[in-house]
Amino acid sequence: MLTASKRRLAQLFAAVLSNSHLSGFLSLNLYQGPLKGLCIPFLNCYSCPGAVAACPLGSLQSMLAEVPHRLSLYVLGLMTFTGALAGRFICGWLCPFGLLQELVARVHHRKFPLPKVLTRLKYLFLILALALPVLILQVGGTGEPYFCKFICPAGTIEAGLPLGLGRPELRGLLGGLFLWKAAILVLFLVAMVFLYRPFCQLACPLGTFYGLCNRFSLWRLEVAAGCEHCGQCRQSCPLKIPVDLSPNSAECIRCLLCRDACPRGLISFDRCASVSNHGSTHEMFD
Amino acid sequence: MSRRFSIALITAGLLLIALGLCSGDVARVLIKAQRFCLECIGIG
Repeated sequence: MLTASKRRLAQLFAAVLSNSHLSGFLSLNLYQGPLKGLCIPFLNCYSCPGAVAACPLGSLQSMLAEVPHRLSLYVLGLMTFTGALAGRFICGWLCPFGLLQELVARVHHRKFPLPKVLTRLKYLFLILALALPVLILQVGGTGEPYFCKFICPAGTIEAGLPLGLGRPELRGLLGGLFLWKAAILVLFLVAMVFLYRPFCQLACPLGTFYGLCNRFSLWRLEVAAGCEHCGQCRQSCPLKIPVDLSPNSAECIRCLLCRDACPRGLISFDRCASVSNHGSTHEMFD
Repeated sequence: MSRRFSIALITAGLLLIALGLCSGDVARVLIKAQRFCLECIGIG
C-alpha cells in the first residue's frame, strides 16, 4: 500500500476513534465518561458531541486560566512525549483537522506557497495561547482559553456549529463572538482551497510545538549520503520543503511523500542514529 | 541532536505525565472536558 493511502487510513481511523461517541451527534449531548479525562495528542475539541477524549490545547489553556493558575504537567508531558517521539508526525498522520484541510484542498489542485514571514506567525500564536490565560484576567482573577475562544476553527466546526445551532438553549446565547469565530472558520476554509493546510502553517499552537520537536525527535527523517540534490523530494513535498537540505524542518508534517519520491531511496524515516549527520541550528525554524 | 537527547526528552515527557497523574491532573481535565466549553462554541 502506498504511503499516501496508509496515511489517509490512519487519519480516518484517528478521526473516527477520537469522535466515536456517535450517539452524541444525534442527541447533541457530550460524552461524560472517564475517558474524557485522557488527552489525545492532537487537536480535537472536547466539546464536540462525538469526542471521547480531551483536547490537549484546550486542557492546557483551561488549567492555566483557572485560579490558582496551573501548568498541567500531564498535558505538557504528553505533548513532550509525543513530540520527542516523532515530532509533527502526529499532525500529518492523526490530526482530524489536518484531514479536513486536506479534503477541502482537493477542490483546487494548485496550491500557493506562503511567505516565510507569515508562517512565523504560529510561534506568536503558541506564545499567546500559553501566556494570555495567565495575563488577561476576568472578574474573580480567572483567565480564559483565549485561543479556543477567539481563533480555533476546529472548535467552531466541531462544537460551535453543531451545538450552537442545534441546541435551542445555546442558540439563544449566540452573538458577536460566534459570528467572529464563524468568520475565522470561513476564512480558513477558503484558504484551504488555495494553500496547503493553512491552519497548520499559520496558527496551530500544538503543531508549532511539535514542529519545534522535529529536530529532536527519536524518529526523524534522514537523507543518506549520496544525495545528488535532484529536487524530487522538494517537488513532491506539499509544503515545498527542501528535504535534501533540511529534512527535519519545523514546517514538515512528516507525510513521507518525499521518501516515496526519492528516486534513489535515500530518504528514510527511522529512529535516529547516535549522532546525526544532518541538521543545523537554523533548521529548527526553517 | 543525538539519540540520547531524544531519549532524555521522551523520559522527561513520561516523568511529567507521571507527576501529572499523581497530582490529580486527569481529574481536572475530566471536569473541564465533561462540560460544554462555551468559549469553544463561541458564547461569551
